[in-house]
Amino acid sequence: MISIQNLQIDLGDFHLRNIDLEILENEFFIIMGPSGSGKTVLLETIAGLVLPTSGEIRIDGQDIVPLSPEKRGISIVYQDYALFPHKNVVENIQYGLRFKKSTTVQKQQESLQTLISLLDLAGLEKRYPETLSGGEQQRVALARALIVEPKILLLDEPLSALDPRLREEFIVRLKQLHQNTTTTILMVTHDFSEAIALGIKGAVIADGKIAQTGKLDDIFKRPKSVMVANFVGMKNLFKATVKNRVARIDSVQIQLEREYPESELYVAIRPENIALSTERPIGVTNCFCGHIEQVTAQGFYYDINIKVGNIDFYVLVSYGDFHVMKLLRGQDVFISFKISDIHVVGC
Amino acid sequence: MQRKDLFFRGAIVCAAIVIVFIALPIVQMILAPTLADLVLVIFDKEVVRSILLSLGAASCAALISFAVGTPLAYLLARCEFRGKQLVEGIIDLPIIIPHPVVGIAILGVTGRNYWLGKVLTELGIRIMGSVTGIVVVMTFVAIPFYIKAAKEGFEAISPRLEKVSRSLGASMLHTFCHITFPLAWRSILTGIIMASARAISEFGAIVIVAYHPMIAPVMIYERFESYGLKYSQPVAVWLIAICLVLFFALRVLTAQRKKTS
Repeated sequence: MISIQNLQIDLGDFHLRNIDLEILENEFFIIMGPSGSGKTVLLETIAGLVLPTSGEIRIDGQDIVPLSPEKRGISIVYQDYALFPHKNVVENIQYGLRFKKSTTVQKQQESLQTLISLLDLAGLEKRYPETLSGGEQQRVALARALIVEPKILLLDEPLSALDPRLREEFIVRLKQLHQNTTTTILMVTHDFSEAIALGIKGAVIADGKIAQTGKLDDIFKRPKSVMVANFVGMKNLFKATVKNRVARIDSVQIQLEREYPESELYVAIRPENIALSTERPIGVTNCFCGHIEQVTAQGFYYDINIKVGNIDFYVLVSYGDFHVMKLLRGQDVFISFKISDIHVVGC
Repeated sequence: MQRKDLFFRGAIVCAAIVIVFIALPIVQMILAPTLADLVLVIFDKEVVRSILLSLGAASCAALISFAVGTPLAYLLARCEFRGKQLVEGIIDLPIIIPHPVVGIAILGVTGRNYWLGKVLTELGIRIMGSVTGIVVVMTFVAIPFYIKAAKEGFEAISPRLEKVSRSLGASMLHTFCHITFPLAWRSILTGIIMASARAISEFGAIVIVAYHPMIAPVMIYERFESYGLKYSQPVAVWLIAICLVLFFALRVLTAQRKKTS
């Protein structure tokens, strides 16, 4: 188990404060946050490549902060893969083996062959990094990190340099790898869809501290702050005056699931939880009439901006539904959402 | 850029002036001596000795620069610390200071009136009028060129390569020897060539610290002073020729290694 307690990191003007995390053994844990929020610095600190100002990082109870990086048993795969350009694929993968004196040469060869086969690297053994595609480089970097059988594998935005097809392929491969090893994986990403596809638990870092930690589903559906709500794509986020079971946003009144004391809070609704129809639905509490202000095609779906009074709601409509309903800009439509899909966020 | 542009034409004219300015005196000097003069000079033991001394002392200076300059270049490339600019400024000093001043400064600290000079005398090391003195002066003027080239080489290598190496179990020394150095060796070799070239060309400081034993530039100066231009030119031609052959060979070696890697 990895236990990070009250970790503080100072790098010039950049600071990470009060980082507390508990990551279970063999967990696939996701660290999320906007670019520049300190995710990579946190990974490098866990790996021993950056020294923290204070705090503890414990692995299975042992404080690893005093240990040098080579003694921690933590491998890291960077966004740009950082393959050694003067070494071929096999030399890159085998690099860490010379420091693992406990395993026999035969076992090392077996591990090499297993990883080459598992990561589909056969035929590339003698090639140099500059001749490999992005996907191939990434698989080599992963093999190099895994061959030393690390206790913890740190992945720094490993999917960001891949095209969408390779990304999906890699997600499947990474899940398989995680199931087949006992390694705990910590992955950093700024893309929430990647996080939800790979991990179960995670943390959001913002402004140099942990903004929320827990199950990704909870973070996704129940963000605890406006920042996290924005990060997880809660496009419908409104400042509202809440009283009893009603949230008033300008002229729009939304019925809530439970009662709140009178206060100024934020009301959040995911775009995919808002239903759009051309006729008023029956028996729905929160239903509003508005007109289509803007339609943006997003490949397989449409992002539609609907104006209700002065409030802009954002709704996702599938390609098929959009054409069945024959939606047009300026058209009057109805939007509705379940009371249970409304999330109230503290300021 | 359009070839017809006035700016483009102006740039070509300026470039031509610069090339002629550099090449004309050298070409003229190379062409001035007859073949017989050149043959005669190369059999002159004094000339051969001075050229070999220049080459030997410059090689020593370059190797010392390599040995002591590499760690400093690495630190400057990788670390940010208070006073870094001051350190870089100190390293640049030998480039800025007039050459005779360098000679006087070195004599100042290695003379018998200064503690360092006393220590060196106790140890039996003589700087004034010795090969050691020549190597010291050459190292003094050459080391900034080596450090600059090596630093640029280290800076061009992503620190992430070193970080990955460490995370895979390698020590810092192993990482430097197996990752950083092999990737920076071309810049390091360029630095050694630059440092050697600078060391061979030094005259002003050496003439103050060690007129004898005579290095090639001092020999050229002496021949010019004693016998005139005609007698100094063949020695100069041989020095230039040998240096060019050596540097060209190193460049070819670098290029070939680049292809094979």
